[in-house]
Amino acid sequence: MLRVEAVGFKVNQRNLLNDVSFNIRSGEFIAIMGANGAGKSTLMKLLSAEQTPTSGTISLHGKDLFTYSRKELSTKRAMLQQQNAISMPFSVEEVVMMGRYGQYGHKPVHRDEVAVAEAMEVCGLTDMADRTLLTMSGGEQQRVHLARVLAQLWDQKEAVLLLDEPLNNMDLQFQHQTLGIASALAKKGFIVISVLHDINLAAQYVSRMILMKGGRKWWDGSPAEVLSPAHIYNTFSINARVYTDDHTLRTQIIPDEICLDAQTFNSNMNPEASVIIL
Amino acid sequence: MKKTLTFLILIAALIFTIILSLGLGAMRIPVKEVITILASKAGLLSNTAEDPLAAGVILMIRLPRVILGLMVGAALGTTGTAVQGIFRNPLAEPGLIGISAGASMMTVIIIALEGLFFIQISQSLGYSLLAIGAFFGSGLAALLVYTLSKTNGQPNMALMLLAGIAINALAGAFTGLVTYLSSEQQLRSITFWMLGSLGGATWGNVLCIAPFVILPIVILPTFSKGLNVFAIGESQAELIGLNTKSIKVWVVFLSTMAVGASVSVSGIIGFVGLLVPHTMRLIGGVNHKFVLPASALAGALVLTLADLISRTIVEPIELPIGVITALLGTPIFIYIMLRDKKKITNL
Repeated sequence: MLRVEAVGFKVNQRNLLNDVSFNIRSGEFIAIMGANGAGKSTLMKLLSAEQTPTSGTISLHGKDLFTYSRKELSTKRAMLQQQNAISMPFSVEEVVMMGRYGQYGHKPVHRDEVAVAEAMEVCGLTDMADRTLLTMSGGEQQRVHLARVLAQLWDQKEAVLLLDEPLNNMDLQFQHQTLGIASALAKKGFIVISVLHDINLAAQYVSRMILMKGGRKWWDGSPAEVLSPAHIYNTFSINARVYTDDHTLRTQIIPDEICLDAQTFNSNMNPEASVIIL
Repeated sequence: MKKTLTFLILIAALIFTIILSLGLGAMRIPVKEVITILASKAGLLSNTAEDPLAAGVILMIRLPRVILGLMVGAALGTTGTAVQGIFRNPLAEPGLIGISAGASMMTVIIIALEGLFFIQISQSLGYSLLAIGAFFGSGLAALLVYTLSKTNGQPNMALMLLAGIAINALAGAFTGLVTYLSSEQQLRSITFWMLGSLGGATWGNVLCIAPFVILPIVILPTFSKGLNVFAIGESQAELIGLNTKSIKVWVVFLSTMAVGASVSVSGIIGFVGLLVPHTMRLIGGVNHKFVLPASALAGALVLTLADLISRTIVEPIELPIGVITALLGTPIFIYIMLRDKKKITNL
């Protein structure tokens, strides 16, 4: 059980998070959604214990998250960050092995090697094990970091998997593969929390959505409860139709398109130029 | 496999270079005699009729010098790798955190003021005053850079880089000022020191710096995992369960100790700390578990070889070793660079 109680986070007098509370049971797969700057990534940083909240408490399995040692935490939660740059040409296998660094001493043991091999397999990286990250596409690199994070928790039960925009740059197949893996781990007893931007994709996989707005929790519930035109308009300032897909019975949305006249923001340009730009 | 082979080749080349270095010089001693002398000294051979003069040259003059070269070379290779690791920058080197600049400043001041009030201390401490001064100068500069780079109790690598530039500039200004005011004779010693030399090697100073140099060479490879994770970022390292603060503190501390001690006896020897780790990465990949020990071996090899060349190529004159490392290293470096253009553009 992950318990978040009245959590706030303040930087230079600015409240990035305000009075956020929720509980997550083992086995739940949760999407955190909201507009840019709503506080999603800040919340993830607090849940990963990378930052300490300025008010409120977070507890994991009945114990304050910030009293766990660094080493204990490395087996209880892993996080895929939004930015993953690499400065030296490490190979895929070496990077995935880094996920196990907190758990072995000088040399990886059998279980570390198995974890790395299986995590690479499930992310479709086995054939690229020796390639260096710097020659790979953005989506492929993202898969390597996902595999690294999975390897970290591979042999754990009831751990917390945090994914901050895991689908960045991934192609259609691996967007679904990633959410499929996350969903399978939740069924195994993990708590999986992911920041997602694609509402329809999220609604296909997650059991619960937390909608954020201006550093506060706006709404919390199943996709059918959260995804109403009113909530979507309130958090994203866009009109959308909500319907239930006949085939999957999932709640899905179709946002209205935004139509702009180029003249409204090209007022300083001459007409020919705006035609070229459009 | 390739990595094991690299280690074997490096060790073989190193042994060959050591024996060659002990035999060559103003007095040529055949390889067979070098081995006999070493073996009998080690107690492996008894009642040999070796030339006492040759034995004296090897044991008292050449051996300490070769050992100094091995230690300084290994220290430069290892610390270069480690510093590049924590700065996440393959162009970084220990000089970046002020170590060399601090040492130069102190040395130049001591050389220039020797005629004045340092003469008293100099006479009681002898040659080692320069070494002690350089060691403290490098430590002081690194400590200053480290203190300036702290934010929320943690050293920040971007701040450390900037603080390093500032302290380097400041120390450089003092060095320049004192150099400008120096006499002709002092200028010669300053220049010679700045270009590096292993000529000052004696058993005394070799044993004196040995612990400061050998400990970091042995301990730094235990930080391999941490240095690897730094390539994907500090916050990732924390999430994986590593203590990034302790990694940074120890790497900076051990590097300062090793380079400070090396510089104090041999002067500033450029290029090795930059060239050697690069070459090793191109040969065997970027994993620090390989690069750190390989750079120690290769650094020792390069420096011993450079020293051999510097003292034999224009006998009896001795060239500064920094000149040789650059002359020897640059073509090899350019060759590897051109061969592996593709790999490097991705570095």
